[in-house]
Amino acid sequence: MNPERLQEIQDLFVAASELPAAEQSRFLDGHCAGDPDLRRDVMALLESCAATGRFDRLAGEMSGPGAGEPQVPEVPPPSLIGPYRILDRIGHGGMGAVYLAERADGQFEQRVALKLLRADLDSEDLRQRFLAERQILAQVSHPNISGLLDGGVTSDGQPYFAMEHVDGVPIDTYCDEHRLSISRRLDLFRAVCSAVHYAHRHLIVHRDLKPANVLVTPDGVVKLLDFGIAKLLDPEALASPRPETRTGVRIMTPEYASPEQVRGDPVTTASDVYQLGVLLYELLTGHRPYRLSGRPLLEVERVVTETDPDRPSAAAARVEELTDLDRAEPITPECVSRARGTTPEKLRRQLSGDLDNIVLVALRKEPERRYGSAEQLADDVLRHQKGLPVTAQPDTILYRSSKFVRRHKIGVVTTVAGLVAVVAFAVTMGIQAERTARERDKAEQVTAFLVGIFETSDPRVTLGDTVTVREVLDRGAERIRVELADQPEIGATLMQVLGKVYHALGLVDEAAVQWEAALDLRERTLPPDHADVAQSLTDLGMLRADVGELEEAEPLLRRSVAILRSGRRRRPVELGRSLNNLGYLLQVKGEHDEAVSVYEEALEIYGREMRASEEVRSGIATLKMNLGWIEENRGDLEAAERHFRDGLVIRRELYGSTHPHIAKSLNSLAAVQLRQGKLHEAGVSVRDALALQRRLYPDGHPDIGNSLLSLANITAEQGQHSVSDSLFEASMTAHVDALGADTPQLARVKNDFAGRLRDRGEFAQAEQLYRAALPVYVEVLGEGHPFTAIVKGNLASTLYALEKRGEPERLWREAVGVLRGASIDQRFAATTMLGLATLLLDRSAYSDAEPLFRDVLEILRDNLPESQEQVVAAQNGLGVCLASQGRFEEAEQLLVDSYTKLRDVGGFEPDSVQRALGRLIGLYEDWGRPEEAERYRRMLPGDGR
Amino acid sequence: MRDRHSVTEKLVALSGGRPEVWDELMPIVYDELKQLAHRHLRSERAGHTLSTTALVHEAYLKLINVDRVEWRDRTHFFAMASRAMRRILIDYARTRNREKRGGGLAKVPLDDAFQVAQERAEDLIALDEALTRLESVNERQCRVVECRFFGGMSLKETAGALGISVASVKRDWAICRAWLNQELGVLDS
Repeated sequence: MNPERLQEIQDLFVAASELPAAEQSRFLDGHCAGDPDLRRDVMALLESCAATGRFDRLAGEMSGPGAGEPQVPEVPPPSLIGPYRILDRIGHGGMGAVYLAERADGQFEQRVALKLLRADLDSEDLRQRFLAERQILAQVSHPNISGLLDGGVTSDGQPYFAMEHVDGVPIDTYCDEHRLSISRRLDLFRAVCSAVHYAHRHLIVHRDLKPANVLVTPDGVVKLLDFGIAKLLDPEALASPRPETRTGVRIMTPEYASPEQVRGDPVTTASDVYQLGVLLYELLTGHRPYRLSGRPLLEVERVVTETDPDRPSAAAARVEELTDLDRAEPITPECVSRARGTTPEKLRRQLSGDLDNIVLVALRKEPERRYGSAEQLADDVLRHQKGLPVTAQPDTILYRSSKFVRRHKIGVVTTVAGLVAVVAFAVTMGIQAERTARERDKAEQVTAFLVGIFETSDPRVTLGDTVTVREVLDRGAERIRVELADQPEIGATLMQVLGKVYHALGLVDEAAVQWEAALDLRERTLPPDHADVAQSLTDLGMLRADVGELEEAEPLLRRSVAILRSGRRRRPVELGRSLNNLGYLLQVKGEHDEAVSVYEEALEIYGREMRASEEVRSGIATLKMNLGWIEENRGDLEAAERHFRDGLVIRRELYGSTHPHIAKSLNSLAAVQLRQGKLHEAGVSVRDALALQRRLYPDGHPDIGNSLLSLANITAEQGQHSVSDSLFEASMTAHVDALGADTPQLARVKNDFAGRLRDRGEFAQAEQLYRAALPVYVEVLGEGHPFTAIVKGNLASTLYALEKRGEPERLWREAVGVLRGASIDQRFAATTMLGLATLLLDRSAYSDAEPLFRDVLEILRDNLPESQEQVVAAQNGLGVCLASQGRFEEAEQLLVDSYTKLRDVGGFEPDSVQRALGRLIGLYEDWGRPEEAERYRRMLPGDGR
Repeated sequence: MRDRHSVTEKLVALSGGRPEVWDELMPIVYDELKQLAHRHLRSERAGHTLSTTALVHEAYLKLINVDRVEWRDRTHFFAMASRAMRRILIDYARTRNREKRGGGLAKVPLDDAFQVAQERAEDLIALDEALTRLESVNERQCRVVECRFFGGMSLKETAGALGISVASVKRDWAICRAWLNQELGVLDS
């Protein structure tokens, strides 16, 4: 046949095949007039197009998953399979066909689902193993598992199974049709988990969990199909006696396959946990974690093993146009939420937080990092339903930081620079160094004591339930002032006690009035080195420190220490306490070295005590807590946690579990746990603390404000943004109520809140908060304090993200000036320098940027994993600086190295990888090496991949 | 292990417009695929469930440094592997056929044998002959069938490899499917 003739036939065939069958004949009559051969050839093609041919059969058999649209021929069912009579065909899939059948020999009346598998068991050995496996499966008896009734091998070697016939619909369809709420869906899902867990205990792995295998009957009972059958399709798996085995790629359903299945690694119960995660994802969001149908295997492998799915709360808000044919309508947030009897916004809120975390833990790439069992997964779901804390936690701060970097549009260098400062700063500002608080411990006793005094001193006063302690105190203060004016010593003592009670209740101004009066009285009536004077100095000094008047506080505290050191009588307890408080002040001022030596002096004094009295042990606990904070501040988190735990142990021995100190220690522990990424532990610690504090204090109390702040930071790390936002606000309210509007505590809350807002890209709001916080830092701590510098750096990177000019550079320069060499973890300095250097690089100030990049690399030369992004960014930046001076060889090494890391390590924003690649290409072009440039240019994303 | 780097380089050169590299690359791809086919067929013993797609992808992963190539290179590799796959399958089918007919050759050891059912072997040989006829009148359509049938390539990948539009691939595939069903015979249903 000549090509022209063939072309003619084909053109007519294509044209005719687009017409309805009835019109094809008339069409050909018109176009093949006088050429019956042509008409016959075209007709033959049309007929074979409509039929199923041997070529179709071959194509169906040769192609695997992802092979486009294989035309699988309909093979007519046999009338008998084993002892079963086939009644109807009810389905077919990758495994083979499913028939409705009944026993031909009339032994049972039950109708069964009979599955005829597409696999050859052509050796006696495999056949034996198949039958043995069938025995194991037959032992599974669970109300939610469709039981295996029988199984065998047909005469031509095809295995079959008879299973309980389940009249049900796939679980996703069932949930949508009944518009089940999230909570009802979770109930059903837990039933699925419990069935899977039951099978796992019998060492049976499902391997192919998906909605089509999880049916719900009209009575709402879950039934799992095909348990363990995937293994039987895989001779390699069948040949292995162990439950964990490799399962051939062909057997899996790509969109439900776990990373280890896709890779061909051994499949264990953890794969089922993963598939349960996919199922839960779909039930909650209406979407699958990945859309893979029709994609080639290679692509499937890459997507499943390398990319992270959206968190469910985000997926539910997604619109998905489906390209595959199984569902015609796009999935929208509206239809998804309607099927769950709610609105898109409510659904998003329901899913965000716990459920996001639970699903993502189940879907982790590494089997060992998922839930240990289906039961644990179900337990966590139940805990969520009951409103209890769940065990699922998002990945560590570091991991999440890298995700954040990936998400964000502004340059990786800037974001990383800012981010690290925020996260670290959130905790750095958490210095909760403790005053000695023996008196505070006794606040309640003192209150009771005073109440007793007042009652006896004025028998006419009857204290009803409605009279608050505060009213009693106010009345008492007035009486002391008026009635004890001529008895200064007793008056001063009572004022001192009253002040302590006010202070313990967070009533700072009232406390200050009492203590100032007491100090004044004592200085006038006692010798200057009297211990009571020292006590008054300490109390007042600490109060000044509390409200941010550090410069006023310092001489008071130093005088107190000096009096006790020089006193004729040794007063180890008082001196230790006074030293601790001076150390606290120094620590707050950032003078860590002197603070440590002061603390060590105190520990030594306590250590010399022969008998460790309650007061001494309490003092040691306080010192441990403060030393912990210094270590935390210096970045030795393990040491910090150790100090905190030591302190907590001593305090529990001393005070039992319901005590303000316990709350405080728990908060400290939480802060360091938070920084170590132990979010769950941190959350538990803070919630315990807060519960204690609520019983002990009024709402507007600084300690409650601090606990609320910790919880806000923890929930923010867990991605519960709306919860976190309202906690930040509650914390600010508590601080304002307790201490007023311009305190460092409040400024610190604002700084942390701003950091979270900036993480979410809400730069304008973040800017507002930083601008409110910064003057307080400047006012209280001074321009030269590292914390002030860190807030400046944070504000600078926010303004830089807002593309403001001028101010970021000024702020960064000021911050770098303070932080470089300051007695603080130098990584803070590195972060700030990197921000400044990036800005300079952006405006081509290479010679200014170069030394900064070098300093960053020098500080980070230990190359801890958490600094990796910064190191890469600095190397890349330095490379650009060197290239600009024509130092190509040095630049090449840095640019290649940093590009390779960006590309290979993962977790980086594609933009920054592209930018690094672009810089590398630029280097070779400037260098006059076009062939190298071209080689890298080919790695730029090309056409429609 | 073969030098992945040099194979990748060759592939990039091929896509970059140096068709002569085809002759260097083809034997490497052919050998690799042949080994993979042996292994798969030995372990799975299921001629009629052989996934050519899976084999081609596996060969790709083994031979090519996937970070280094673009989408276009990949389609070229697949097209090449599809050709190789055709030869491998047909060779096996012929061996099987001769064996069945007692063609006087030594019996191929079981482990090494391609377990295509006899009927499939005959279908494959018929397909190969039909494709050879097709090639003489319309080479492009023959390539489309190779990519789609032997390589499991999608419409888009096939279009990319052959440098034609997706619409053309779709049209060619519809025509060829009808024609090949006609040539090989329609199944009774």
